[in-house]
Amino acid sequence: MQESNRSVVLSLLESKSIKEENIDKVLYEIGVIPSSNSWYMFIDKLLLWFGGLALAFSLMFFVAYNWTEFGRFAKFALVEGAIVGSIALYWYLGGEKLSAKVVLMVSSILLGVLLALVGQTYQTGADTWQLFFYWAVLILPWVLVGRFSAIWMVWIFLVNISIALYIDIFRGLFGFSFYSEYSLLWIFFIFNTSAWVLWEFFSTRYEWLKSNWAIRVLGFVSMTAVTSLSLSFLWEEQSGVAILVWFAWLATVYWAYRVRKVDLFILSIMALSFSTVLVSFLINALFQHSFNLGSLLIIGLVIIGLGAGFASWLKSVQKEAEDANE
Amino acid sequence: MQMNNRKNIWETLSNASLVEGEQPMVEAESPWYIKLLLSVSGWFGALFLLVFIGGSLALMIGGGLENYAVLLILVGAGLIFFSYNMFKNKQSDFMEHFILALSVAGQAMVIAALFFMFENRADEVIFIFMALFQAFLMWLVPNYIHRMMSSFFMALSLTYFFFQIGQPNISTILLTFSVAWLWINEFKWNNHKRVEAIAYGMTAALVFIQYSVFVTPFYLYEFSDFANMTHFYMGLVELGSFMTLAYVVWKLLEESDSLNNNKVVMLSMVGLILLGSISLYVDGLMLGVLFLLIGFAHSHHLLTGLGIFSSLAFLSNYYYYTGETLMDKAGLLLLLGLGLIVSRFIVKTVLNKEASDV
Repeated sequence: MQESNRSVVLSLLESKSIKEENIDKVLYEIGVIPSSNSWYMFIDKLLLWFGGLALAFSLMFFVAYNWTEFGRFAKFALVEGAIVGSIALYWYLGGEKLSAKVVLMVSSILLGVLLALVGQTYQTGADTWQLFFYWAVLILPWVLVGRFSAIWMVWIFLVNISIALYIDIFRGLFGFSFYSEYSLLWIFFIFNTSAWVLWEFFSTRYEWLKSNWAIRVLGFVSMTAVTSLSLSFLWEEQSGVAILVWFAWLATVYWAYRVRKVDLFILSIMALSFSTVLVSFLINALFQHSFNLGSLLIIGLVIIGLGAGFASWLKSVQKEAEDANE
Repeated sequence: MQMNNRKNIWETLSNASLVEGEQPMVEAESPWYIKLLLSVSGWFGALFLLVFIGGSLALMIGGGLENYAVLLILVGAGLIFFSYNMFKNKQSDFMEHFILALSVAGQAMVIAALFFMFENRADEVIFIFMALFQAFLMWLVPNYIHRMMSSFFMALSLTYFFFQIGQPNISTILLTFSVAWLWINEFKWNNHKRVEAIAYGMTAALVFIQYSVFVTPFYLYEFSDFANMTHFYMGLVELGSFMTLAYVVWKLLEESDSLNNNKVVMLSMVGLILLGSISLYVDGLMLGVLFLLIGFAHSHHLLTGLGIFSSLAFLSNYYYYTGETLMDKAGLLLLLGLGLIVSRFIVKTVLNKEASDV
């Protein structure tokens, strides 16, 4: 973990170490303001990604319109032709290029459009979860071949949606019946935490998986699920297992992102989870039987203390990590 | 160029004679999520303190506070004044946070008192007063998180004021331009920290307002007659965003010494006009692009991320726009997609560059 160049320049500006006439030169010298070549690369990527996604969305909207004058075979030919064409283009471009990755993402979206078209045309009576489930299953080979973070996150998103829709209908999974709305939270927690752990594990082996943003998104989803489960224990008197799992989650996250390596964002969401559960516990304990003003003051001070304490701790971790980089 | 740390950067700049004297020993700036954590806990802490102080006052006077608006104003103003004086000196983390919560509680008391006094008779007056009051605190109180929060509430109060007088478009236009202006000139301000805190607060307010209006049927809808927000008004907002984007592009061209490069200027103009035309249909897209451009131009990763997320969110939201059929939308997106892909080749050809495919 290291401080960004931008942040360093801002602190130098604040301490008046840079003369006004040198500001622009400094910004260029250390790359805070991009060079003309960096600008070109950025615009190039922007046009490619937005262009590809706009084309995929265009076909999706066209199919959703369900234009009756355009026969079903023509529609299938259009969507299937687009899929075959995009895969051929991917093969032609070679897997490592950015344009190939964009094309593969477009193909993955188009496969979902094809499944929606099948459902729309033949009225198979299939449930919505099946659309997302088969979509995730069918694009899996492309996801494996694609080797880039964004397409993996799309896959994880699709699996999450299919799980939610499945549980909503059947109230169970793999033959086990669930009677509680919290079961969905458990499954989200297990699935996304597993994805997070696997991502961290494989990111040490594969360079293309080293995406901070993806790890942080998965960490945030995992935190939201486990914190909600702990709150369900406090407020709804659900199973005490939730609170034990929450403690284990805190300990593991601390070990992984404070002891083994440092990630301030993950430590911040850990602090948020801890504060939320502790304050909820206090509110529950203090107001369970009666309302009194003194309790409000105590809770207010605890919230302020937790916020200040964690901020101070996170700043010291940040400083320690920066000193270690020196 | 990504450098390892502060020391390396200092050495590089020192060797190029771009800095003077000894390397300053300054504390590293906290990342945005730590600031957010502090703001959220300060706000929630203030909520409990507010109920505690309000409840204690009600107990002392033995009745409803709505009859004691002047007392509330006095106590609230006292808390704010006390906080302001305390902030002038360096405090411990806990005290700083406690003072922040006291100030927010004081502000809430003053505002509640105004609502009690006017009883919904002059909401627009209360909101413009709130906006001015928050602007005053934003400038005066010497604390980063306090400034950020005041800036956020100032922008929201101003928006509610314009909603009340039936001109919701004006605040969005003003806010969009202010945010762009503050960020694009961020390295030029004398008191950078102060301006940065204000810019963060306004950006958060702009995102909140834009998402409320375009994406989710949130609080603003119920706050005043949303029927005022006709397509004409939306068009004005987009026009305002277009002018702001044009200003940002001009500043970026100036910053990169490209105003004399006819090819680059022409491509930028064509890109601007294309984007402006599309944004007449896809509401909010220009705001996403604005964040994206400013974020990339100044290596501000939070703004860049916000730009990517906003652009995709507004593009997806276009599906639910009721002004056109899905067929029309499909046609527009097809044109947009083809236009962007063709533009990529034109840019490459005109600038005579190799593809960035690596």
